[in-house]
Amino acid sequence: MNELEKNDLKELENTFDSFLVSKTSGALSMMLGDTFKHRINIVENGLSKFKKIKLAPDEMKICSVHLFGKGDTEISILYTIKQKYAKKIIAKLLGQESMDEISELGISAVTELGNIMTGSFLNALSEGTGFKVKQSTPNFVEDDLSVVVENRAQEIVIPIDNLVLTDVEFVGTDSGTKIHMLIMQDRQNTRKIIENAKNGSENN
Amino acid sequence: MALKIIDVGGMEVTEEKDSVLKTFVGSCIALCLYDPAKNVAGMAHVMLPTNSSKKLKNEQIPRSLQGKYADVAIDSMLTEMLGHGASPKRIRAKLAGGAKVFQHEGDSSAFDVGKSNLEMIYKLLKKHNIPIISKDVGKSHGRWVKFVVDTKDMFIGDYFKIAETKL
Repeated sequence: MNELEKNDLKELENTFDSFLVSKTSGALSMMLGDTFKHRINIVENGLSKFKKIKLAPDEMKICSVHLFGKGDTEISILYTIKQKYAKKIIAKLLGQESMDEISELGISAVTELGNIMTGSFLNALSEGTGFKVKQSTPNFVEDDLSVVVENRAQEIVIPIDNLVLTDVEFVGTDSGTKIHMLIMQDRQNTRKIIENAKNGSENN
Repeated sequence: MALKIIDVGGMEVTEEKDSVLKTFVGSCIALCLYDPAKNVAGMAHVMLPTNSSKKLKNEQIPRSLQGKYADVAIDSMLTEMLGHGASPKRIRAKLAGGAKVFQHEGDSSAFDVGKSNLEMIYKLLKKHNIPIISKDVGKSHGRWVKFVVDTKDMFIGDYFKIAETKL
């Protein structure tokens, strides 16, 4: 399949941006009692470029929550959170000042947060494109960033060169907490979303 | 004390007196069913109102996901609880969750899952003649839910409260 044009990627960025502004940021802000801003970066053949991200040695292990949506389109969503931010989020959700270790209930809290953010995003996707997409249950994994991303990308995109990866970074205005939402699709499903979102906005 | 954490979409039924069932919910619902005369209780972390899948029938849903849909969760919990000696006439419910975290998306949102989940759970509990003894639903934030099998108390906590509330 041909690579996506620059205009296509810009279109996808605008589409996702409207979904995130309208829904996901709001849901996240409400759950954590902090206003979250976001920025989007989309890369085609995203895995090789994503691997180039350098992390400090003490931040190689990350907490991740993964979900996927299946139906009229297929989409994989992975939340990656550095451990120090994951502990901050969990402490906030569980009403504690701070947290030394991530407990089982903490994992339950952070997976529920991923579940809510994904529900909000897929809701907006459905409204914007008309696609019906069913959401999986969330899955928590603590591992190296590159391992987590690669494993999830390979589940949804074969060959891996077809991966279109959208990296959304949410930053809490007061807390400084950072959450990455990695949206992964193949080129075919990316095109479907762009086309349907375009048709949707023209019909509105 | 045996602490059992219920994952999102998960379900647990126990007959152990010293068990404590616990989960964290936002828009999802923590549904607890129990028999007050026995130490038989269950908790489900309900994500969605019904299983609308045409491919996967209710009875084919794996054990780890039997709490995901309200209809499957209630049927599965009741079956297991009766298997442990609970009486269908005595079963009671306590529930919490259904936060309106999508309220900024408007009332017409098709994805107001908290509300849809609650409506379905109320309908199904009524169908099974299961009274709701206590609940803590709605609001706009997540909360953790703890159910103590021995006392049948449900405790709720959220980051606005200093102490847990007993329900």
